[in-house]
Amino acid sequence: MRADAARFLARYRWVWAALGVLLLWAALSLLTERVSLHALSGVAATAAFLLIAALGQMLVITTGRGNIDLSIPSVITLSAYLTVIIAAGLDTNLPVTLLAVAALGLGTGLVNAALVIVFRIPAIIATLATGYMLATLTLLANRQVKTGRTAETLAYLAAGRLGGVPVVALIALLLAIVIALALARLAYGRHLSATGQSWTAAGLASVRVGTTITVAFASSGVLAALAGMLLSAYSGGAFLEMGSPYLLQTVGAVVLGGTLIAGGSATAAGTLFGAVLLVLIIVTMQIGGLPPGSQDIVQGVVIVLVLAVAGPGRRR
Amino acid sequence: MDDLAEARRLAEDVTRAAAPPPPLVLLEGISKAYGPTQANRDVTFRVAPGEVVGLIGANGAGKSTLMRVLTGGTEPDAGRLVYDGEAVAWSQLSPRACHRMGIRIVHQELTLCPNLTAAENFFLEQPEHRRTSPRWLAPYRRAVRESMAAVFPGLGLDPNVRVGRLDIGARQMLEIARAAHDPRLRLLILDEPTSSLSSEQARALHSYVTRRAAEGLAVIFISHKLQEVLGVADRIVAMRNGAIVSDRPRAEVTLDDLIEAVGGRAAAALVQDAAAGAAGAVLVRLSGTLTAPLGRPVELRAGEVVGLAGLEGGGQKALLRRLFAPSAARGGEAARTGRATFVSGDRRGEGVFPLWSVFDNVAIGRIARQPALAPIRFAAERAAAAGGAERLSLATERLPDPILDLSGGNQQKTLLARGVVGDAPVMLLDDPTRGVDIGAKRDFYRVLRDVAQEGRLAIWHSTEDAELLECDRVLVLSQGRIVADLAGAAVTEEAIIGHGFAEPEPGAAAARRALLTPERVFEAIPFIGLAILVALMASRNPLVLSSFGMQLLLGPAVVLVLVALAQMFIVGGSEIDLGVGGFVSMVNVISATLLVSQPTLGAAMLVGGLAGYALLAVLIQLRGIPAIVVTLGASFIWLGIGRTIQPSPGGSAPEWLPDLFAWTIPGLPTPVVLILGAGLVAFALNRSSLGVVLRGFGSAPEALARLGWSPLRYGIWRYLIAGGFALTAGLYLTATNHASDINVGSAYTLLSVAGVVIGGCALFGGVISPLGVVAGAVTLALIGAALAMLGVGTDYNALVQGSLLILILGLRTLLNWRQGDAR
Amino acid sequence: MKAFVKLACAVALALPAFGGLGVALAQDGPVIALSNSFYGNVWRRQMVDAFTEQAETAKAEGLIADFVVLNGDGSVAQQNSQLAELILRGVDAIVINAASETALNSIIGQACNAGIVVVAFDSLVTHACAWKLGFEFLGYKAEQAEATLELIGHEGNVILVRGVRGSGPDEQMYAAQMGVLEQYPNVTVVAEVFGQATASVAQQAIAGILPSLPHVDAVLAQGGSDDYGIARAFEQYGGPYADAMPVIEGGGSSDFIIWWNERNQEQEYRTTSMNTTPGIGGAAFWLAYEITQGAEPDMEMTMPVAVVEAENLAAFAEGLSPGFILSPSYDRDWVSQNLLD
Repeated sequence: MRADAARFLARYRWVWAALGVLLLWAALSLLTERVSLHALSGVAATAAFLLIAALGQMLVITTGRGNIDLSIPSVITLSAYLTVIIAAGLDTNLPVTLLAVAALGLGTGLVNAALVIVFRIPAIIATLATGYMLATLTLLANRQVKTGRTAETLAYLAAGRLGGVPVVALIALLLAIVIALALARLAYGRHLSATGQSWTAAGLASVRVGTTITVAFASSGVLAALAGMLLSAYSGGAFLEMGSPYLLQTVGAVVLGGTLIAGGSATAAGTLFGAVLLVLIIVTMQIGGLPPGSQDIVQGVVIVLVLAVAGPGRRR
Repeated sequence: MDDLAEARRLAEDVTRAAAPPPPLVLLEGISKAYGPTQANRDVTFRVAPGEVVGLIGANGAGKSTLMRVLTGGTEPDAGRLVYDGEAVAWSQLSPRACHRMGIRIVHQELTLCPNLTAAENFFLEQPEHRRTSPRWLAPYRRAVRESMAAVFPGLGLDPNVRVGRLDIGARQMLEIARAAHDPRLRLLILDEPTSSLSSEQARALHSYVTRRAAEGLAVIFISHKLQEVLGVADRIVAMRNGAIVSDRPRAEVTLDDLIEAVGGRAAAALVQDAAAGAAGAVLVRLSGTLTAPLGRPVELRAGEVVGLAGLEGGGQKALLRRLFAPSAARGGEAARTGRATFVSGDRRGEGVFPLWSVFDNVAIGRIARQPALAPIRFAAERAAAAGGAERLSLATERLPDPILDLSGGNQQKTLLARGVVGDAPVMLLDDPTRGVDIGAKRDFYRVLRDVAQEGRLAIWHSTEDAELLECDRVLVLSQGRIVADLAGAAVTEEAIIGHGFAEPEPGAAAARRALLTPERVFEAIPFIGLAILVALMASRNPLVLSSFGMQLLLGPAVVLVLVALAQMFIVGGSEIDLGVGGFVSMVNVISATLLVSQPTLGAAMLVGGLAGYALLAVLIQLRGIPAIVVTLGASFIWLGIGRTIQPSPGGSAPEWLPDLFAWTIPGLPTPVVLILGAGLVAFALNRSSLGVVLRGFGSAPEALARLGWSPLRYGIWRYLIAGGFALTAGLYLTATNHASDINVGSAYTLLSVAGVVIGGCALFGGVISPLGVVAGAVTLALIGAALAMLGVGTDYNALVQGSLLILILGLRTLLNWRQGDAR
Repeated sequence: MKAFVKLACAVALALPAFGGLGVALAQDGPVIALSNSFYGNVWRRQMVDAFTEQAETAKAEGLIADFVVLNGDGSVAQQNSQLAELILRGVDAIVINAASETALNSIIGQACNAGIVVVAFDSLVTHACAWKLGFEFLGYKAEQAEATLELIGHEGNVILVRGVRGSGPDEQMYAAQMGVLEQYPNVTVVAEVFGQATASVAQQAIAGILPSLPHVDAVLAQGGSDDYGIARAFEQYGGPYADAMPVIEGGGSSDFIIWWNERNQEQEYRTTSMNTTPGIGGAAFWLAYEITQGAEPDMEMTMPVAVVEAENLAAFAEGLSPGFILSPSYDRDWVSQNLLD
C-alpha cells in the first residue's frame, strides 16, 4: 500500500505542488481575512501570466543537458513594446500585432536553438546572450512608444472577467491542457522525453534530436511573446525590465511543479500548480510584510532547496 | 637490430636459461569473474628484475584484467600477489600504493592534462620538488628534457608547449617518459605503447627498454604487434580465454607459434564468394580506403548477418556509426540504401531511457520516426511492442515495468526489440551481447537469424570472436580498414583472430594532418581587437589617448576587468559562475551602507560573503550539485540580501576606501595602474603551482584525484580566489561611485563571461589566459564609448557586446570541428 | 565675475591634464548637451522634447552651434560614461537630469574643471559647481499629502507609490509624504511600491499586490503619469473598488485628468493633482545658454508647479487630449524674466 502510494507520487509529481497549493490556500484563508474570493481571482491572473511563460520554460528544460531559457524576460518585454507600438490601441491592428509578436518569439527561439545545437554553446550562455541583445531592440522600441492606449479586445483578454474568473486565467488553463495533451498523445512528447534523457541514445534511436530541441525553444519563445502581449494590456503599456521577475519565477514554477531539471520528464499540470504555488508564496510574503529583498532571498532559497532535494531525479 | 646487440641478447638468453632469477612480481592463482564471464582463470604470472616479458592475447583474453589486478584497479576473486619477496594484501594495493612500490603502468588512454605544458604535467605527478619562487617550474622542465632524452634521444620536445598542441605520438612519448622517469621505478608496464608512434620513435623505445632492463628494470610489454614483441621481449606469455596458454623464452618461439598460441591460424585464405542463398538487394556498399587491403569493394545484401571483427580499436565502432549517420544514405565510402536502426551495447550511456517503462523503450523504435504532430496509436504500438518482446522471449507482463527494474540482459533484449520493431532494412548492432548471460545470447542469435530471413541486413560488431561464428559473413577490421572478408566455411575463430593480428603495410596508416593551432588565434584576438578599437577611437578624438581621456574611459573598465578575472578562475575549472554579478552588487551595497555606519558589522558581513563563496565550492564538490544551479541560486540570494539592506540606490563611501584605490605611477592614470595590477596578480596566481593544479582540475579532475590532489580543497581555493576578485570589484565600485545600486550587478555576470570568452579562454578544458581576459574586458568596456564616438547610439551597446560573445564562441566551435578529426 | 575667476584658475591648474581642450569654445556659438538619465516615461519624453524644441529654435536663430541629446537607461554607470564622452567631445554646457544625487559628483567635478557649464535640473546633484534648477518637492508634496489625507478623514489604509529609484526627487517626495503621515497615527501605510513615475509600472505593481491587501482608502503617488496607472489598476481589479475608488493623488497626466473628470461626472470623486512640469527641459536649455553667454544667476533656482483642483477640473479637462503631462513651455523670455535677476 505504502509502496503503491510512493510509486504514485513518484509518477505523478504534480500532486506535490497541488497539495502545496491547497495547504497554503487553506492556511491563508484561516489566518487572515484578507484573502477573499475576489483576491483569489487576482492571484489567478498573476499566476496565469507566469504559467504561460513557464510552460515554455518547461519545454526547454525538458530537452535535457541543462538547457534553460534565460531569454524569456527579454522576449516578454520586447513583445509588450511591440504590442503597444503596433496595436496603438486599435483592435483593427491586432492581427498584425499578433503576427509580429509571434514572429519575435519564433525568431528568438530559432536563434537560441541554432546556437545550442549548431554552435554547441551551452544554453545558459546562449539564451542569456540573445536576451541581452534583445535589450538593444527594446531600448530602440522604447524611443518609439507614443501612446498608452490599449486595444479593447486585448484589454478584455488580459484584464476582463468571465463569470468572475479572469479571462487570462482561462487562456492559460487552456494552453496548459493543450500542451499536456500534446505531450501525452503526440509523438513529439516521446521525442522530447527521449531527447531529454539522453541526446546520444535518442539519436541512436532515430529520434530527430535537433528538430525536437528547436521546437522546444521556438515554443518557449512564442509563449513568452504571447505572455508579453497580454501583459502589456494588463499593465496598460510597456516598460523596461517588465519581464525580469519572470526569469527566476518561470524556473521556480517549473521546478516546484515537479518537472525534472535534468530533463526528460515534463508535467504541464505540475507547472500549473507550481505557478499558483509560487504566486501564493509571494502573496504570503507580502501579507507577512516581508520586504522585497527578502522575498527574493526566499524565492532563491526555495528553488535551490527543491533542486538539492530532488537530486538528479532518476535512479542510476 | 645490429649484430652486436644480437650477440649480446643470445648471451643473455643463455644465462637466463641457466639460472632463473627470483621474480620481482609473482601473481599466483589469479581468478576474476565479471558476471557470467571468467576474465582470469587461475593465472600464474611472474616477472623478474631485468626481464622484459611480452604479454599477448586476442580480445577478451584477460590481459587488461590481469594488469588491473596487478596495479590495484580491482581485487581478484582468488589468488595472491608476492612483490619483492613479500606478500601484499589486496586491500593495500591502490594506484598510489603502486606508485610508492615502484610499479607504473602506461595505458593506451592518455592521462596527461592537455591544457597544461609537459613540465606542468610532470609537476602534478611529483609535487615534492616544488620550491616557492618564480622559477619553480625550472626543475620540472629539466626533468622533461632529461626523461625524453633518456627514452627518445634526438626526438626533442619543448617542455613549455601545451600538451594539447602536441600530436598524439608526442603525447604518448611523453606519457612513457613521465612514467619511466620515476626514480622509484622497478616495474614498468607498457600497454600498447607504440600504437601512435612512428617506426623511428618505436625503435627508440625498444632500445630504451632493452637498456633499462639491462640495468635491472622489470618490464611488461603488451602489444598486438607480434613482430614487435618478438623483437623486444625476453620471454613471451600468451593468454587466451582468461588463462595462460604459453610462456616461453623468445628464442624458442616463432611468429606462427605466437599466432597459434593466441588462437589464430596464420595466413588464412581470403574467401571471396558471396554467402550462399543471400540473393537480396545490396543495402550496404563499402569501398575506397576502407577496403583498400582487399583491393575491391564489399557489398552487403539483405538477408545476411554480417559480423565485424578484429582487435578492439580497429575501427569497428566507427564504421557502424558512419553507416548509421545520415550521410551514409548519400553515398561515399560507407554507403547504405534504406533506413537503419542502431542497437547499442552501452546501454547506460547510449541505449536505455531510464525514466521510461520497458514498453516505452521498445515503442520508441517506431515512434521516433513518426512526425512530431502524429498522434500515438496506443493500441497499435502496444501490439507491436508485445510482438517484439515475445520474439525475444521477454515476458510481456513486464512491459509496463520501469526498465531499470530489469536485469542487464533483459535490458539489452529491450534494446534489440526496439531495433526489431523499428522495421528498418539495415540493423546495426554494436556489441549488444556484452555482459549478457548465455541464455539471452541464444535468444539474440535466434532473433538475428529470423530478422535476416525476413529480408533485413544485420551488421553486428562483437568483441567476443567466438560469437561471430553465428554470422554468414565476417569482415575483419584492423586500423580502420577491412583486411579480410570471410564467408561460409572460412568463418572460423582462428581465421578471425589471425587476420586481426595481421598488420597492414606501413604507410597504410591514415596520414596525420598537421594540427592547426587555433589556440594561437584565440589568444591574439583580444589584443588585436583592443588595438583596433583604440585606434578607431583615437582617430575620431585624439584626446582618447591623453591621460585625462584614459582616466575617464577606463574608470568603468576596472570593475569589468576584476569581475572578468573572477569569472576566469571559475571557467578555468570548467564551470560557470552565474552569481558573480550579484555578489559584486551585494559587496557594493554592504560597503556603501554598513561599512560606513557600522564598520565592524560591515566588515564581518564582507568576510562572511567571501566564506559564503567558498561554501558554494563545498556544495558543488560534496553534494554534486552542478555549479550552474548553485551559482544561479546564490545570485538571487546575494541580490536579495543587497535589496534588503538597501531597496533603492544611495549610500556613500567610507572615507578610507577611495584611498585604497588611489595608486598612481607618474605618467599613468590610476585606472590603468589598477587594471595592470589586477592583471599581474591574476597572471602570477595562474602561473604558480596553485594555478597549475586549478587548471589541471579543469581538464582532468579524475586523473588529479587519482594522483592524490584533493578536489574539495582546490575547489575551495578556486572559489575563494574568484570571490576575492569579485569583492575587490564591489569595493572599487563604492570607492569611485560613492554610492551603491543593487541593480547594477546583474549585467556584469554576462559581461564577465563575454570578457572571458573574448579574452581567448575556452569555456571547458581549463584553458585560460589572464592577460587576454584583461584585454577582452577593457575592449568590452570601451565599446560603449566607441559607439558613442562613432555616432552610433549607446543603445546598441548590448547588441554589440552580445554579438561579440556569440561570434567568438561560434568561431571556436567551428575551429574545433575542423580540428576534431586530427586527434 | 568671481565665479569666472575661480573657474579660470581651476582651468589653468588643471591644464596639463587635458591638453587641448581649450578649443571647445567654438566660433559659431556654444554646443549645449542634455544628459538625461532615464527615458522610460511620458514625463521624460516630454522633457526631452521641450529641450529639443527650444534648442532647435536657438540653432535656427544662429545662437548655438549645435546641441546633443543623450538618454540613459537609468543606471549611474551609463550616465557616467555618457558624461565622460561629452567631456572628451568638448561641449560647452551640459544640462543634466541625474540618475543619482551623489554618485555622479566626481565626474561632474571633472566637467566643471574642464570649463564646462553644468546645470542640473529636476533630479539634482549635490556638487557645488553645478547650477541647480529644481522643484520644491518638499513643499508641494507635503501640501498635496495633507489635502489627500483630509479627504479620507485622517484615518484608513494608504498605499505609498514611490518614483524613480535612487533619484533625488523620489527621496525628497518620499520624505515629505512620510513627514505628513507621521502626524496621523490612524493612517496606516499598507504597502510601498516603486512606480518609476510610469503608468504601466505603477499599474502592474498595484495590480500585483492588491490581492494581499486590506481595503485601501487612498494612494499617495509622485506623478509623471503613475496616477493613471494606479487608477487603471483599481478599475481592473474591480470588486470592492468598483463603487468605492480610493483617493488617488493626481500627477498631472492628461489621461488621469480626463478619467477624473468623467468619474466625477458620474459619481462625485474628489482628489487633487499637482505636478512638476516637463517643460523644465526648455527652461534648463535657455538657462545654460545664458550662463555660457555670461549671465550669473543664483546657484539654486526653483521652478513652479502645475495644480489642478476640483474648481478648475472641468476647465482643464475640456478639449484635453490624452497621453501627455500638463505643462507650459518655457522660452527664452520666460527664463530671462524669472530665473535671471
